[in-house]
Amino acid sequence: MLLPSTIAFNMTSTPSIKFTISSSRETPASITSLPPELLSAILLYLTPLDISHLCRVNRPFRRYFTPPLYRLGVSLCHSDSHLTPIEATIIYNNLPALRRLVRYGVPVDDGLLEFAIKIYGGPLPGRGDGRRRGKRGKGRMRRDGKKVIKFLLNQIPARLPDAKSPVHTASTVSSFRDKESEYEVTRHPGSPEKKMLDASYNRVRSFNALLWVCGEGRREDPGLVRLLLSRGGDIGARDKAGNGVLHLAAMRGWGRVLRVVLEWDRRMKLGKRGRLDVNMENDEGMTPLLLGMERGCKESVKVLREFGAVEDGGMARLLLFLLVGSWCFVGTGLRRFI
Amino acid sequence: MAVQIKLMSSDQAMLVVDKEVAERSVLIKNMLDDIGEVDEAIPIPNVNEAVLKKVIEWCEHHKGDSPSTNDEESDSRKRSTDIEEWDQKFMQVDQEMLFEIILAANYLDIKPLLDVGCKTVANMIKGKSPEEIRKTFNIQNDFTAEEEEQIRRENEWAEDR
Repeated sequence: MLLPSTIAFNMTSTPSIKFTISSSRETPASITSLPPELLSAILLYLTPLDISHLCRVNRPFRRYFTPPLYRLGVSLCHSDSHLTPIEATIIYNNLPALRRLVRYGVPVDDGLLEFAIKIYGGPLPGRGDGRRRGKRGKGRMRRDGKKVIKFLLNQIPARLPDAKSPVHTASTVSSFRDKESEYEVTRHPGSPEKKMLDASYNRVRSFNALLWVCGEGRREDPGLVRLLLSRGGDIGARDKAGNGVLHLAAMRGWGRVLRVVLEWDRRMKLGKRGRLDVNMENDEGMTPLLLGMERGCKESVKVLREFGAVEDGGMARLLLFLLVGSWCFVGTGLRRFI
Repeated sequence: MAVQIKLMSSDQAMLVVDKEVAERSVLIKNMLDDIGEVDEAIPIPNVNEAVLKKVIEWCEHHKGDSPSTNDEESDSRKRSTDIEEWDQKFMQVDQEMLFEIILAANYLDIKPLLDVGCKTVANMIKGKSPEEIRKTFNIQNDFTAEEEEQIRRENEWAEDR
């Protein structure tokens, strides 16, 4: 029970927060007039990101709200971005805060996993090409990033009731959370337009973690590929142009990723028919080996050959390509010569 | 006939309420337990008439509520800031009144009302940028440009990706 004497004691113990609780109050009550224990009670309902915003309001707020924020394990927020708190913890690579949020009951879904993979594997959305990459602390943060993804992967199975293989769904196809499309869809709940939008939205926005990491990921990361594979990533997935994981990795000369994928496939093959054909063709009839040769990626060619890739029918096409290439080369060379 | 008691607000206004209603406040309940039946008004020195009326209105609406157990309470804390519809309407007052109510609930020790008030404030803060928070609560930004820059620098590591 709070008697006036208790309140008066608190008043003297925290002079940094201005508040007056007396019968003859001149200033009107405001948030700054709340005693600290009440502010703490309000903090219980706020997320770390909200608290970090409170810290940036003014000096008394900063003095007061920074310690609880550090107790939550979060640093101050870097911008007035419209991130949800859980997205913010992912950007910060703040695994303890993420754990806490999940424990508080913040839902984890495929979209969040996709967000995490894109943050981890590529530049920040809407922040250019991430060129301001410092060296300090980078390794630690990268490792934590993988831990965040692992944590999210572990969370999702328990939270998807209708998924046939939750982990599989989690790391293969998901719909990207687009604020605008969500708005469009929710505007006509239950209507035929909604269903149509839903369908197109899922199709257009389908996201395959493995393909994305191999096709658009910023750097070669065999560990992440192995992680996704181990959590049910679909090794046989193809993108719109019919490119599989092998094609994409071969094009970029990522020998280590190719090795991980092929070794994984070989291990899976034991006993049953393998799902992956080293010589599979994409929609243009190119095999991974040809793509690797075309781009001059020695590393991927070496690994693919090791795993039994051969150039047969595609050889003619490659010759044709080389022929055209050399023609062009000769043409430009001659022009310069003349 | 229910026992009625008198409350005296800070501005000397007399309010008569049912004992059952008044006992939503742990402060008053303990006081009554200690001193037994009283004829004279109980002074509530920290709360003025308007706020006290508002608090009594809430107590009257919630007089039938069973006192929440500790488990339930911690559970509802963890959960989000959902507020009952009636409470939401009740809390649609200007900010000064809202904070007065919270302070009064704290002083009178009415836990559920305090929770509702805190949730309302939390909802006002949620999802807002610092600038929006300043605007909502009419707070001056007293950071200098250098300080703002320093805050930004402090968090640069987070942008470093």
